[in-house]
Amino acid sequence: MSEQHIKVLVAKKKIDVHGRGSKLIAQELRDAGMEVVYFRFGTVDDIVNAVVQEDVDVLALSIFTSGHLAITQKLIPALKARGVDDLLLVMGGCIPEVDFDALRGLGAHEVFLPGLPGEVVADYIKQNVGKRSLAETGKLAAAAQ
Amino acid sequence: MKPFVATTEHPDRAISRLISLLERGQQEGVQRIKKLYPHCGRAHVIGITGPPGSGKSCLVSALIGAFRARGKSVGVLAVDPSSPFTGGAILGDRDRMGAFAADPEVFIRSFATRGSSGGLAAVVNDAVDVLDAFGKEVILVETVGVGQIELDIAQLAHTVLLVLVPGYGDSLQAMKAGIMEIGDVLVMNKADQPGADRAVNDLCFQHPLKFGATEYKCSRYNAQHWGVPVVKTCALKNTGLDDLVFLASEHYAFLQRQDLLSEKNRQRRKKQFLDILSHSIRNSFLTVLKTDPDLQRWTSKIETLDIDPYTAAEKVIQFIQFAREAAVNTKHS
Amino acid sequence: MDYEDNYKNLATAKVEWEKARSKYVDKLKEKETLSGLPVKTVYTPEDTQGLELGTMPGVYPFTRGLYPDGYALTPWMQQMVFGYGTVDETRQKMESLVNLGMEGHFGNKVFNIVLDIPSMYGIDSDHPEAEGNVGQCGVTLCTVEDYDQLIQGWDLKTTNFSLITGDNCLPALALISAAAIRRGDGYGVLRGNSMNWYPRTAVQDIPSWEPKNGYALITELIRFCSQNIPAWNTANIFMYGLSEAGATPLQELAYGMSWGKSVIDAGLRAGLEPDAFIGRLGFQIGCQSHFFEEVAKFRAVRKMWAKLCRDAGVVKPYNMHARFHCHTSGNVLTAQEPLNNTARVTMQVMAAVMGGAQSIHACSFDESIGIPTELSHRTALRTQQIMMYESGLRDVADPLAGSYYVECLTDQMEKAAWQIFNELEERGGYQQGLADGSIKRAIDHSAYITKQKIKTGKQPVVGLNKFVLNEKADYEPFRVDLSLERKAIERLNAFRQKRSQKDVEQALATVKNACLAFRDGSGELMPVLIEAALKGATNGEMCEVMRGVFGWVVTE
Repeated sequence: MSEQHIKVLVAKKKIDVHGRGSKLIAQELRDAGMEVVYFRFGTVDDIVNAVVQEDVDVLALSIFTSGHLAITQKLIPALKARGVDDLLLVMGGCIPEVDFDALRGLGAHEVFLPGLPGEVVADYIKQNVGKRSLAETGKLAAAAQ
Repeated sequence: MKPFVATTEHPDRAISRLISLLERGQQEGVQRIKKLYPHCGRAHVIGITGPPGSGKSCLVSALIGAFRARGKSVGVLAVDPSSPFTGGAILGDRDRMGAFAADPEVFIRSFATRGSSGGLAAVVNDAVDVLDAFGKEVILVETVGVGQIELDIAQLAHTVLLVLVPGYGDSLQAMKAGIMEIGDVLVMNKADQPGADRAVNDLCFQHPLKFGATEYKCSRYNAQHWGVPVVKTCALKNTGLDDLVFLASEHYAFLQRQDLLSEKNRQRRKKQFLDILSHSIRNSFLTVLKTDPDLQRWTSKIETLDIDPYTAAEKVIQFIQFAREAAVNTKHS
Repeated sequence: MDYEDNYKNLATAKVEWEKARSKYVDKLKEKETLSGLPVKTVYTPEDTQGLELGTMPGVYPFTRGLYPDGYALTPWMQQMVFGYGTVDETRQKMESLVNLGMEGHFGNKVFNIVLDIPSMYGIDSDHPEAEGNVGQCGVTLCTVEDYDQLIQGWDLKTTNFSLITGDNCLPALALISAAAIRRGDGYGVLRGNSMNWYPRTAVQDIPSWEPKNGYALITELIRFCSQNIPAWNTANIFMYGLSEAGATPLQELAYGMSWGKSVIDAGLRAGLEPDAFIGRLGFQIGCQSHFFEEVAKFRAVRKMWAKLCRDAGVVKPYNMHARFHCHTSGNVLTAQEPLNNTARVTMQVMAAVMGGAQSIHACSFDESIGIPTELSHRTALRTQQIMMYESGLRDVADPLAGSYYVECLTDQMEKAAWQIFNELEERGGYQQGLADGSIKRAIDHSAYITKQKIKTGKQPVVGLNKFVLNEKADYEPFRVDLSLERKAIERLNAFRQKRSQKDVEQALATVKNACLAFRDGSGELMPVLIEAALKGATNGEMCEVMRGVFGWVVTE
């Protein structure tokens, strides 16, 4: 995968004013050599459409104003329903660490605290892109129950 | 001629995966696109170019709206520059087109230029065919505004919209020489800014011409004797879009009337074939080179100038010629 | 000792000083403020030579404060931001904050109510794009009944409603005005604040009006209030937003002044008299972690604003006041070891107090993790109260005046800010910078540079890049029950059932026509919006009509 260009969708809610984190992570992933589609979504379906049409390797979802559990709960089945299973899903923003396990259980591969250097996220992506699938996380979620 | 229908996948997913396969140069993609060509040839392919800052992606967004209002399905291929240092890129065009995020009749795909190695034009060529085969009626190809890719896109689009803004003079300098000649319609975007009328007048070397029932200011006649109209738009305010869509469609009708459309398509295919061929020859040569010690010994002579590169190339051509004659003789014998 | 002798002594002392430091002076590292202004290890009277230090608080140019005796008569207001769920939950929070002693001037109530992001954006709680965000980081306020309940029981003459709205600020003012009418008080007595901060979209990552319409709408709210709701603060110059988006304190100051001037200019263009509206403009300013730079910034704000107001034709001194609310920085808080943030917030509140803020929101220590808990929110309020009642900090006006360092830094900030300000003015001012994206690019770039500095350790952040503990945080933030979203939608539906659909449609049609006329330069909007609110039109419905007319765009 390393020789290919890694394509990432950085998705951030359109109605949320907090864009500093998502814009920074977009730039830092670009600096790490990735192709970043920056996208402000309205609904979960908008994200799914963008993921499908851009055929990205990674979805990086930035959330600053809560709703992270609700959105993830809806997002993963919606992606799978459209046949997307070979996606690496990372999340970040203002998300309490106590929810990280719950998000992983729902299907996110990794969640990051705010303010971390972009390399931390970039390195994780480079190590895991193409190796993880949403189907696999679904199994994990089922096993956890 | 009917659009191609993917049987097992959601069409967007099928389009998208196929473009990815072609982007990565994978054989599976080539095998799949081969089946699509019978379904190609119905879409109106419109290139949108112009200097950075002219508001191309906002204009594309407004154009999507205008074509959707006319019931047309739309495909968009949007190109943004890659960083020459890291190879990374931020592709921000899709975001400008957020109003159509949920519209199933709109397919948007972003591309990075990936340096000057030239692979992009081939991928965009393929992507246009894929969207065309899947039944998108209008395909908008938005480019970055600088470099060779503009001219490549001009050759593949039926109609090229060159987007300018008041005070465009300096920014035009940054673009490739000859860029002014590629526009079939000149668009003065951000026309609510001061100086728009003067900027339009500066572009007009011809008397106004009638298109349908309406008269438009006109820049000049191009080589096909099409009078290049100049139209004012303000993409943010959604003004001038009716005129623009009308003129683009007029240009398409003009190409059909003058039998220029099929000529344009023939030219495109010829060029595409030659590009694919030279790419394939180069690739297969390089593949063989990796494993063939005789060939490696021979090419090392070029590197040390024991054979000069021109003579070496002539020898290869002679060899192919020889092989071709041998094949013909075998067939006849 | 006279002045001359003083300097002779200084010269002698400096020779001794140079000698004392000669052994290590080469090893000292260059320091600078967050804005990149150079900082020396020692300041002397030489650094304040030529500066206008002979000024008094309460006197133009107000560098030393707006009031002659500082906080003696009117201490700062503790305006803690709050709001979540439906108006039911937010009412409870209002009452608990009053019980905790949160108050404004002369014992008045002050409520700094944040709307949830769907309400701010101008969509109702049942809109598909609102899903997951209803009542989460603010209260959902959609209908006139929501506002009825918000103001219920509060004496409008002594209660301040600061409504943290977004581009819904005109409909929100219409809704609260309608509620005041329904209560029988009329809207003329309302006190409070409309954010009216369209220019924030220069940096915030949301779509908004086309610039020309955005400014026309700012002016419409100002015009309406200056004629009808005299005690309402009509526009907020949201420097905090610039700061949180990544502006350095210097950029925040420069672009803030430029923003303010753009609002003044818009008002003057619309034919308003300077003294009739400029005095009702206010500021919300950020406060980052470099203590002295922030104090200097606050002092420079007052001085620069007073000059801009005077240049604009303001005559009455109190209309030249840069009245500001300080919001301590959310961005500098760390998710790691959240209790550490109390130290950061305390330092920032202290800088705001030393800088002479009129009102302060102290962030809760857990704001980097989620919505504040009762405990963290209360502790933040208590931080302000301890500062006010225990520290003695409020006893003396502008206590850092005369500090060689602070005076010098104030002057440096001002000069550097005028330079940025003037460059932008030459290119067409804030409105142009918003339209062409140059402000966004400059501030995004600073955010990027700051992040690089933190990454390389050049800017230390304890717990984040220094003394990092690799332990998992088990901090449990406040949870807004997702069932409140259903409750909000039920409330909205029940309201829609009761109203006359025909009246609402008619009222919205009138709003649309008024918007079209207004866009083309004639007529008023506020009266028809209030009428629509009275007929039952919701926040989202009014905003939708406005978006259709005034454009809804992503700036570059």
